[in-house]
Amino acid sequence: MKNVFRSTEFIWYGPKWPSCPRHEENKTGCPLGAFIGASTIGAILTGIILALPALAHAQPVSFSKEIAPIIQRRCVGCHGERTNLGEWRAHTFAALLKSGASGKAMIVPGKPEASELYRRILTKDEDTRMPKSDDALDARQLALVKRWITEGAKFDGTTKTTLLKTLLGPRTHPAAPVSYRTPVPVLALAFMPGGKVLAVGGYNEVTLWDVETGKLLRRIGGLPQRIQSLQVSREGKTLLVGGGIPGEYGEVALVELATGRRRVLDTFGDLVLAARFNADETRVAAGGAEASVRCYSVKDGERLWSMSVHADWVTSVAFSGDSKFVASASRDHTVKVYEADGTLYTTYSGHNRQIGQYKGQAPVYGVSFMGDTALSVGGSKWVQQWEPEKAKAESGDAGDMEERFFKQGHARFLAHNCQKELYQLCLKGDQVFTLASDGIVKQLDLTTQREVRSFGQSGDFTFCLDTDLTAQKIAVGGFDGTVRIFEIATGQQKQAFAARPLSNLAQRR
Amino acid sequence: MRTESPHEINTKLSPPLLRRGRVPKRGTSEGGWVLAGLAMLPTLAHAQEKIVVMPPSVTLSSARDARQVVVTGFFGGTARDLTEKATLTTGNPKVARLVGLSKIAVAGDGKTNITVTVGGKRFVIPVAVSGATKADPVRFAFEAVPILTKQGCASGSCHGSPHGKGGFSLSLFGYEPKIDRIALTRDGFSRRVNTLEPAESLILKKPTLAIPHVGGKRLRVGDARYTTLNQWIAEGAEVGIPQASVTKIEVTPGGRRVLEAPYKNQQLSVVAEFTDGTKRDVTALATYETSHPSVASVDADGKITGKSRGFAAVSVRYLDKVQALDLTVVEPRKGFVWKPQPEKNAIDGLVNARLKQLQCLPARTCSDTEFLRRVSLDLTGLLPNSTVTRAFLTDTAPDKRNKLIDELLASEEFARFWALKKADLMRVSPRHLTTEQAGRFSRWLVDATRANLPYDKLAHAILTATGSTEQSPAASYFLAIATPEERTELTAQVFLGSRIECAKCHNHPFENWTMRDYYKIAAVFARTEAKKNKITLAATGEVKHPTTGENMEPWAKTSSPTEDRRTAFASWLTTPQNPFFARVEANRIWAELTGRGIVEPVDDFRSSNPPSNPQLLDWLTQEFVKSGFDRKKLIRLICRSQTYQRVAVAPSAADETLFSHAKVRLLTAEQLQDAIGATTGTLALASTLPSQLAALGTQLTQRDATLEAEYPSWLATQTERAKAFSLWQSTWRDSSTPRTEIREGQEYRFEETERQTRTLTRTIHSRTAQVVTVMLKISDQATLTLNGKPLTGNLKRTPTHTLSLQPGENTVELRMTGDNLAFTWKLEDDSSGLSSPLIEALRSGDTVPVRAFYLANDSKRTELLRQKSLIEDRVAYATQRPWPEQTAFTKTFGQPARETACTCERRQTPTLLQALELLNGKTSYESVAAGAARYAALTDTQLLDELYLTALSRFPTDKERTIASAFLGRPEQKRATAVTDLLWTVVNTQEFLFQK
Repeated sequence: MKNVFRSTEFIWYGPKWPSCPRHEENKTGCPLGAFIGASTIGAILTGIILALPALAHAQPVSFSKEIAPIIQRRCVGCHGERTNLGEWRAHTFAALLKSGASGKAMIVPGKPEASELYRRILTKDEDTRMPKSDDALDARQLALVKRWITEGAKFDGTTKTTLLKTLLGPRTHPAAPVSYRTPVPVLALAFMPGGKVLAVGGYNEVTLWDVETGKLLRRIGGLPQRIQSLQVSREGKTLLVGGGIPGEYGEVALVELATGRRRVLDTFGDLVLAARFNADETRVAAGGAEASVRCYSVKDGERLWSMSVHADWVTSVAFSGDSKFVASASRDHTVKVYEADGTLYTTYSGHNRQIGQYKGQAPVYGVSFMGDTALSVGGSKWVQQWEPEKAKAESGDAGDMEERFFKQGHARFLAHNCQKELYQLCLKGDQVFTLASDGIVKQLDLTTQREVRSFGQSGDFTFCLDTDLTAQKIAVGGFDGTVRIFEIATGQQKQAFAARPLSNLAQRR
Repeated sequence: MRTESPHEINTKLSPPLLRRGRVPKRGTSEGGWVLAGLAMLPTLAHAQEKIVVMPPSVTLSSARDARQVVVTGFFGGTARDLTEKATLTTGNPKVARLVGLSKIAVAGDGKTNITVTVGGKRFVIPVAVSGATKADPVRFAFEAVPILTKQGCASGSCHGSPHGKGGFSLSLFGYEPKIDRIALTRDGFSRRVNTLEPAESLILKKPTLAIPHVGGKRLRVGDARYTTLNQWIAEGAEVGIPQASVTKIEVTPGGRRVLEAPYKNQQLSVVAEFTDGTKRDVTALATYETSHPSVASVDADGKITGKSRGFAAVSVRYLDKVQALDLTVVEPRKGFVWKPQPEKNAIDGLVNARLKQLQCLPARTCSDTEFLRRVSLDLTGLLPNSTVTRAFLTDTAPDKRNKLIDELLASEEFARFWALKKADLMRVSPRHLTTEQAGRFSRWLVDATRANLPYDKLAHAILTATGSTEQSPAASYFLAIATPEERTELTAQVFLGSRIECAKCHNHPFENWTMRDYYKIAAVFARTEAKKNKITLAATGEVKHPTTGENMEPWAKTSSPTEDRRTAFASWLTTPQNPFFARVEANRIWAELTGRGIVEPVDDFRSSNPPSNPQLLDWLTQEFVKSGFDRKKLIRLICRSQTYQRVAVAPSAADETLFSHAKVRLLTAEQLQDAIGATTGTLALASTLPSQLAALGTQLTQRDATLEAEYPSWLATQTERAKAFSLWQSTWRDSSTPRTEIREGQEYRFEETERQTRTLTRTIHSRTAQVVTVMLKISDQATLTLNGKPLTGNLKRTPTHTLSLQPGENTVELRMTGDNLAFTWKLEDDSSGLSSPLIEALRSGDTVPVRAFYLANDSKRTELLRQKSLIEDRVAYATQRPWPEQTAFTKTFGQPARETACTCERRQTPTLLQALELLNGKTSYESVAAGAARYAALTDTQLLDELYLTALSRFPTDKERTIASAFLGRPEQKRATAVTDLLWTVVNTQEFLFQK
């Protein structure tokens, strides 16, 4: 079977629900994922697997496909990057080969009985059996591990130091629920060109809605559990999707709207929170809860660079208009600017000011470029406009830098007068649109430095915002699963609908 | 539903608790036991051997309601948990089902019976179920919050810390549902809960380690807590504000339990009662904590497992309610045989019973030398001098130990040393008080100890002290600490043995004191104002609860709104039924004498800190209360016990908590400094108090005798003068309180400086109708009325006024308004020449104040007293000064700076600095050098006897004599140098430094 999990390869999934590699060879039937989506109970899944007939292995056991998932799920919690009980780590293949505090050989290729790892998961002694104070591995899993060691404990990935969770490659996502039992928070949305159709992040899918009527038009499935970021290409042919599963998986993918095909650019160890095209749509930048920022070539999907310089989640990414710079905003209170090749250009600390009129320390949730300047928003009381080149010249971290900038006119602080943190920033011409966590959208004019209009009322949490100047519309999505549409010219709410598929009439294409 | 109380368990079983089923025939019952694996269970041979099944009946009223069943067997006085051995069957699985082995859960509406089969007997629990079909959503505050607390998520070291962990921040122990609502459901882009697929929620996947979690495994998929959280999320993860609250929890069994091997398990059942009248089994939700994890552990579902011999407290907490179970785990020790022990009083019986239970042998009785040194240090802080030691060691009277105890208890040294202990806790220090105030308060404490003021009276006097420190020296207690909060913490620690400072900000997880309790006690002190040298009572003043903002009612209800809140509190505190007051003091006294509290630390009484011998503490408390809080009596009782008089060597396996042997203790800083002083003779020798003091005492006695002789004639003269008055004035009164400090002709300044109105009245008795002149100087606006008529004219401008007095009583009222009020009053024609207080006392025929006045007015006596108090405050012996100076030496040895009310402030851990201080520190070096001269004059034999008797309370052994004589007689060194070295050596021996 062709190894479809090598991360450098493209993975194209056809219009049919993709088949699951593990079961394909045994013809036991798919989609198993569809079943999970409908059932919701993990225990039943285990039951199903246990009930399957013993799998006849024609091929050697694959570490990356069969062993790594077990270790990742059952061992890495205690023996991982951050915790290493017994002085043993299992987050990478290289790490798990090393002995722990006992000094015993963890894996002796060909000899499972001499391998401490196998001995510890096999023993009946509750005090030494792993996983400690948890259920033992089931017979099938034990047999797999045993066979893998007997076969020489071979590594079939590319790099032995790659995190196991990354090694697993892109996941096959379960089908979206036919009907949403409860509302699901809307974490991302984007207008299709023309502003008549809105793409909304759903559960394992993106849904398309008629802006005018609030009717569901189409569902595009096979996508990550949570969609945290959406961008539609200029021509309206491709969706750039960022998302994943909280705490364990992130994905950045391109979806052809015509076919619904997914092309995964990369996977992460936690949610992708932001993904953006550059101006000519030749490149994509993405970042998320894993705190790294990565850049890809759209044409061949090559990862151009990856930088892990933030200390906390990356919440927003942006390319400058000329694609010379990439910027990333983070909960670590900074914005980082990179050159086209990924070299760190400068760090903007304007949201972490210790002195002066604009002092305050706050996470940053949104960043965008406008000409030579960058704009950023977050927990502070201002929309901050600044010049990366000046920030670089000042080496970025001088305590009084901001005061001097401000006096020299290199940084501007535009008060937004929102009581809550700003979660989103959206630039259209010289108009700035911001979304506060309580749902209030502000339109600010950069030229006059004034507020033009305020949209909506303070309510429950909202997370995403998009605007369309052609249709003169603003869309906001939030915790309650509702999408609200406002008219820019009047500030009036034009439509509000629950972005919640309730029947199976809308088909997957 | 009924619950067994600890007394019912331990003493008598009330019949309704016992539900006996049909007793099967013997043959079948044995068969049943074998099936259930109960071969070890003894037969129920006697009528008093019983099995109790709790609860006797069960009413379940909602779909997820359940009840834990607890089965207990009583065999010859000991209780055994038979829950695991019992077999439960349901009469109708469509009504009640069984979860695990011993939990009854809802299946459907109706009635049925659960049959419990154990030890061949059958018991029936009637079960009534209603509301099974109604929706029973998870209540966040009552179910999810306890789980997040129980699993440690919301603890102070994890997500409950102020900044949370890993970006996820919960409120501490879930006391802020609003914060938790945002953190759990919305924050972090709503990543933590997944209402569509609850099992996919981060808050379930992390603690089950489905994905890495720094906090480790906290939940197990499928257990009760996981299922509850899962359901809460599935129901929409709503965080409502609760309408009801918990009124109490019932823990079965409660009180005390002995787990005797091999029956070392105990299933608990916890039922919570809510304000809306509902009850829920919260056994799976309650948090369990054990004080000694090596002795007993508790699993998440309330099953206790005894691990090893010893005692432990298991605390059960559900939201803000805490209950504890005291456990003793008994295991046979191989080859252990209990031997009958000598017992001198009831204490020994109780101590030995506990030792026998936990299989430790007590130590033998100590030697006279050991006893003398021990009891002297414990009761007076001082070493016995050589004369006392010789006399005691040679005394052959069988009751000489008891006599010695009585002598020491009656000594001045006892009063001073034990007052020091109290002064330590009450912050008697010039850091917090003026030197005069500190001196007055400490002398008051000495006087109270000398007079053996009952402890309830002592506490009452301190806690209600009002007025200036001259009149009321104990008022310094409140002067040393300013805020109601600090007073709350100090009072709780000193008198209630409780560290309640945690409750200032949150309900403590394993503490009975809640935040409300804290602020209710604080409200007691809200109106007690400290001003310079005086404690006054304000008419208003409240304490607000910091979270709810409400004004707190004081802890104890006052009889009227104007009553001093402290009086009500002190009365509550000192009632014999108070669960803390007598117990805490009895334990403190025990700890002072044995080196360890029955509850240790002595000021950390809480349900999770069990007494090592509960019966002993109960008995001591009871005796203390019965004696009328007589501290000396309790001390005497303890010192007379064989327990107190044991050697410091444990005869059997190490026991440090059950008092099988005496505890070896390093002398305290003050004791050590004095011991070195006494041994080297650098502190006064003749008496333990300096000779000056003795001399002053003699002079005082002489002066008192003279005054006594002169008193009758003085009294006659004064009485004559008082009779032959043309007019006399009573003392000024301020709302009927006499103000004796306002002196005729001297300016009187009110201490309160803010704007106020004062009305003072006095009576002028006049023999005839006459006109007199009064000189009146007033700082501010005032009116003066005589017999109800106001005087005209500007009082402030003219200093003299004429008063037309009628024969007999005239009432004068002086009313002043302003700030910094002051006035001077002098009646020119006051012909008696006697001061108002004296004349009042003379005329009332009250001899006590007259006598006091007579003595106080003697300037010579006053001067002698002043000198005495000056010396008393500067007695060379640190143990004899309730307010000892802090020296480099005493600081090194852990003398507290009196910054807190904690006994832990007196450090008892040995340090390297102490060793250096003793080897070549200034104090030891200078004392040894000075002392050598005194010893050098003696012959070798005299010298060795004197040195060993003084320092170690014994004669030297033959071997010591031989070695020391050889050392002193070495020709190559001067005798003086040899004596210095010998002295230094003795002072540095462990025998000298430690009390054993």
